[in-house]
Amino acid sequence: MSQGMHLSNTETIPGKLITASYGLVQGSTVRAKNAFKDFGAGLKNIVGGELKAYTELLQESRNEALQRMMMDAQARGANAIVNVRFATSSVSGGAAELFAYGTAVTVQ
Amino acid sequence: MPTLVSWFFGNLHQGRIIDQLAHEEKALNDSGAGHPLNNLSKPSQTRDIESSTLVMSSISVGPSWWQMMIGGWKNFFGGEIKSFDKMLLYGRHKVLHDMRVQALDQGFDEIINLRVDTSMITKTSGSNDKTAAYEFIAYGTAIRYVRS
Repeated sequence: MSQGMHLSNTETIPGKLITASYGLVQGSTVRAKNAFKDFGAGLKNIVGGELKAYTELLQESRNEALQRMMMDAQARGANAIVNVRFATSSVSGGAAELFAYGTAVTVQ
Repeated sequence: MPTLVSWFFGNLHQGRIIDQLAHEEKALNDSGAGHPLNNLSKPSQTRDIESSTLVMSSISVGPSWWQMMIGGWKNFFGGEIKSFDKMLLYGRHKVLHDMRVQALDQGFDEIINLRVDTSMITKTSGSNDKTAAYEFIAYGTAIRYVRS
């Protein structure tokens, strides 16, 4: 992961010791797909299957939310985030909110 | 008319991608590849760990108009909505298969604490909305043990 920050969705970074904890950090984005691609996804619903436009939209948004969470942790002086969790919710108008949160810690 | 198009091409397209995924999964199993995914909260072995990282995979799937129409009717009568099952099962299998491939390709020994979340994304720009998407995300902590 960028910025040299360790991430994990377990209680610890496996193989490392937590020496300090800085509390909950979070990052979120709300992103809407551009109208043409959204229309394409609407058409894609005629046959169903994977909606690549939404897959990409949500992946980009999730990475953005992760970056914001890492910046939040870095500002507190942490070098790792444990117990990372994700939440996705639908916002009206074809937009989605991506939320990432975890506990910022220092590990050795 | 669009719903008939949806029924025919929907079945065709979905059948094709489901078969393709089944084929890929079988090929992977036949090649003797391991099963590195688990939802243990700690590494399964007590060996020294070289590195670990968060990994994730996601996909958005949607039923066809025809399936949504059937789903609407079925909702009225209750019971299992098989028409939705098809694409949701596909999405969930695909995302777990992608995680497994990612683990094997990048040389991770295992991915622990796997979580799989589902969320519904809808477009509500007035009435007669026909877009429905379900997002599956799988994420876990990938571990590489020290090679002894």
